[in-house]
Amino acid sequence: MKQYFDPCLAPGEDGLLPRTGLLPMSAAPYVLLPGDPGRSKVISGFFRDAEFTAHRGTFATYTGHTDNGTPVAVTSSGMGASCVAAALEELSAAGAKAVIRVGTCGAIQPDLVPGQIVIASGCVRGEGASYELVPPEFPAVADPHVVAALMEAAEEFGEDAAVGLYRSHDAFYMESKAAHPGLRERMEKWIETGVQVVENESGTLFPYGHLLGLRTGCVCVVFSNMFVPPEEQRKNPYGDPTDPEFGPRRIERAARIALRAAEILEEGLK
Amino acid sequence: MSFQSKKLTHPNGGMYHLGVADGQIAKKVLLLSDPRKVPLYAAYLDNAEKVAEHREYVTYTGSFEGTPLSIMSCGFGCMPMAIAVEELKHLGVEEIIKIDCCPAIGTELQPGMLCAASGAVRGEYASREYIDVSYPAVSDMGLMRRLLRSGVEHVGLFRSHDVTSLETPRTEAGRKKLAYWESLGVQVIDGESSAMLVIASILKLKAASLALISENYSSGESLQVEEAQRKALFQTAARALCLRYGGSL
Repeated sequence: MKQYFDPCLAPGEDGLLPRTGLLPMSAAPYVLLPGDPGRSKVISGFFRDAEFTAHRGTFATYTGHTDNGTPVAVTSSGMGASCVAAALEELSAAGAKAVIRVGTCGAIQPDLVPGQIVIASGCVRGEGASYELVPPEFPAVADPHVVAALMEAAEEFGEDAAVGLYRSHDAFYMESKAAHPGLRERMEKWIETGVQVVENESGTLFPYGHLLGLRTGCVCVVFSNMFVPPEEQRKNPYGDPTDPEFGPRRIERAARIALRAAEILEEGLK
Repeated sequence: MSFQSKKLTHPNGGMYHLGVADGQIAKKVLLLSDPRKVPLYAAYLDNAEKVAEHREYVTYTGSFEGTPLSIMSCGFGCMPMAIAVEELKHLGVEEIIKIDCCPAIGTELQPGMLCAASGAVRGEYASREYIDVSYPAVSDMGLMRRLLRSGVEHVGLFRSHDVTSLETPRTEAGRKKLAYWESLGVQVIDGESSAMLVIASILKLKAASLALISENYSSGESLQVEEAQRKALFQTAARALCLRYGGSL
């Protein structure tokens, strides 16, 4: 993948990249990118072998291999597009080739239930960071090779994953199940244009990954539907969303899909 | 529903602009800009018949390896493309791939190569009447997956815009604009893809775009498109639309 932009990061006196603590040109080619720093360690538990690499700020990194020996890492970004921009720059300088975000999202289409896996095709750019990088009409689109690998991996796990558009934004309390009044009105045009879910990072992840020469993709678990009453949401094939094990179990599935996608990318797409 | 246009037909049942009536077009359609080139590509269909010709829309229906397939011109620019997508939706069409000869920018695509659009910069304005420019013009990923499986090796970003001559290497201003898009990793220039992708996404029609690179604006190299290249363009897209792979699609 050609790199179109180089942020010219300088390592610190310790030789490490300043924000993540990663060593330049040391990263695994495939990196999972959860938002929550706590999830880095959890996801590293799904590696065949895992080693702690670095933890600075919200960036916690573990490195290892998948079941078939594909080299992988997990780095947490923290929440929001600003953190994702920083993580991508340093992962690029650390030599990563593909970055797959693994996260959670809120659904806005009536047929999406908690636990559903949603793979991003592209993303409405409701966040601000990408506007500093590319003009407004530039598409936030996931790398089709990564999307195809995620689709294939989900099928292997027997998951009926949805593939569609995300919307990223910067203010949780404006577009979430806990949002200020007027949510339905604010979201109406996105519902009508087929946007599936709302999260925070993909609007920047895709175009910045493209500029940095990284293949990017995103697989998220729906944690709630903004417009379906809670009692209705408990009826779903993935389990009771109020069960404390529900979130971790579905996140594990999303992470395992991402790890399998790394293996498929490594093998070369069929 | 804000998006529900009226089905406008002539007394003979033909759609108002396309001239095509219900039952005359397959659920899978290849689109290309130039109405005069449609017969060249229709020759690769089995049992192709011209079903309509109205304004810039020329439509043939036949089959490809046993699957019904149509090929239709969509005219030049976002305006006729927007109409084409709307009227194809009214006719029950489910999947469309635009195939066209397009110029490339940058160092990666040479004349003669095929490149599928992952997405497109929305430089045209038809799609902006539907939805904010923050909404991405992206190819349907199921179709993309089938294009990759049918042999597409290059995938990149397209830029669709309305005034062709403002973004060519013939003028200093054009070279500056092209250099800007090249610096952002755009690889192919056309007039229709972003309108098609956005409007198709909104109307829940699967769409993708595949270009045969006819020249490279950055290197100045160009190509006289020949029969074999046209056929490869057609077959790659037709295969992606029509063939099934191990039941996993």
